[in-house]
Amino acid sequence: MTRKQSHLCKGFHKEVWLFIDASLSPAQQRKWQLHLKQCSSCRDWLQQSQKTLAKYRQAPAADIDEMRFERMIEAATRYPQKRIFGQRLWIRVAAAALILAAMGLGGHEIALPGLKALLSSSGEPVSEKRMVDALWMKADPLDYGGTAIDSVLMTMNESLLQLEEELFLFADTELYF
Amino acid sequence: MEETDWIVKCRNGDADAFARLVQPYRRPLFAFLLRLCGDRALAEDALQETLIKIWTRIGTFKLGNRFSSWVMQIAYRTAVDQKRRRKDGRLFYSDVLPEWQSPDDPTRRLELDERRRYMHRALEELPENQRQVFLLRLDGELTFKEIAALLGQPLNTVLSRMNQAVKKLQKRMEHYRDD
Ligand SMILES: [Zn+2]
Repeated sequence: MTRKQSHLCKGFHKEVWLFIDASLSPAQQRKWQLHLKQCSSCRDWLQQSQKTLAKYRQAPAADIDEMRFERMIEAATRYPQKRIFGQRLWIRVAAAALILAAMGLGGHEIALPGLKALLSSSGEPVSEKRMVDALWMKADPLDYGGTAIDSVLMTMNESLLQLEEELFLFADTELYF
Repeated sequence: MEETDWIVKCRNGDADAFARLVQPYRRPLFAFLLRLCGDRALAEDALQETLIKIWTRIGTFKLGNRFSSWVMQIAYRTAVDQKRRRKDGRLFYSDVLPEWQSPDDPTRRLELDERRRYMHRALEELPENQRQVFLLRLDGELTFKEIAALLGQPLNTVLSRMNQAVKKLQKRMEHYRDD
């Protein structure tokens, strides 16, 4: 085995799972396909790994009784659904006003305190950086020069939903790890 | 009707749509939770809690994302949270082999039981951080990028843990007879 090959093999071992998932760039996928054709050691290694996974998948998994599952579903739907930003018009209007204010006055510093007040009603811990990232990634004021208020409202609504989802995931992470 | 349609109906409080939406996840969700919790009663509690979270937070799911990933991430967090609340030290897996419904044919049952027991032991021997990645990928069917984000670990770390896990399982299974 040449030095070049062993370097390639190392690279392949590093990316093999992304390769199997086909989540590399097309060029990179092709590169490893080619390498597999030429390198029997990586080919064997890949085959062995896949065989192991297949064995794992063949081992029977447990199941739960259908009736019991249905009762669980029913029990779940008795809980009230969280509707923080989706339903109430005044919140959407307030949010849009905030974003418009920020656009006019040039910065999220203006919008943040108001946003924070809105978000605090959800009871989730929230850092300013996280809010800015989540919000402005979706709603860059530069994109809204001269757009109708409706589309601003819609995007704002979407941003807030996404933000809420991120906060939910974020809050869990922070608490549990 | 597609999954997205059921999700939209769910958001409007449609309980029947919720049943249709989560029905296909019964087996994968429960199997995943059982492997994480290592005990049938705990896994059932975690499943109930997971379903409640899916229902109450469905409005926060971003349409266009992979719903199955969202569901499995909630399940994972629920299992982790449950273990944390119980403070029993181990995060994943218990030493108890979960009971399950065996097929009626005794020979087949014996064979499947043996294979299950073998796999269980092999998994249990893995270090926790490797088993975690392995289960999230194989049972949770998350992508490695999703796993990295969920665990707050660099992608390369996750990939190398997967490599180590598979290597160890492979070595362990060499001793196990092939079909
Ligand atoms: Zn190679």
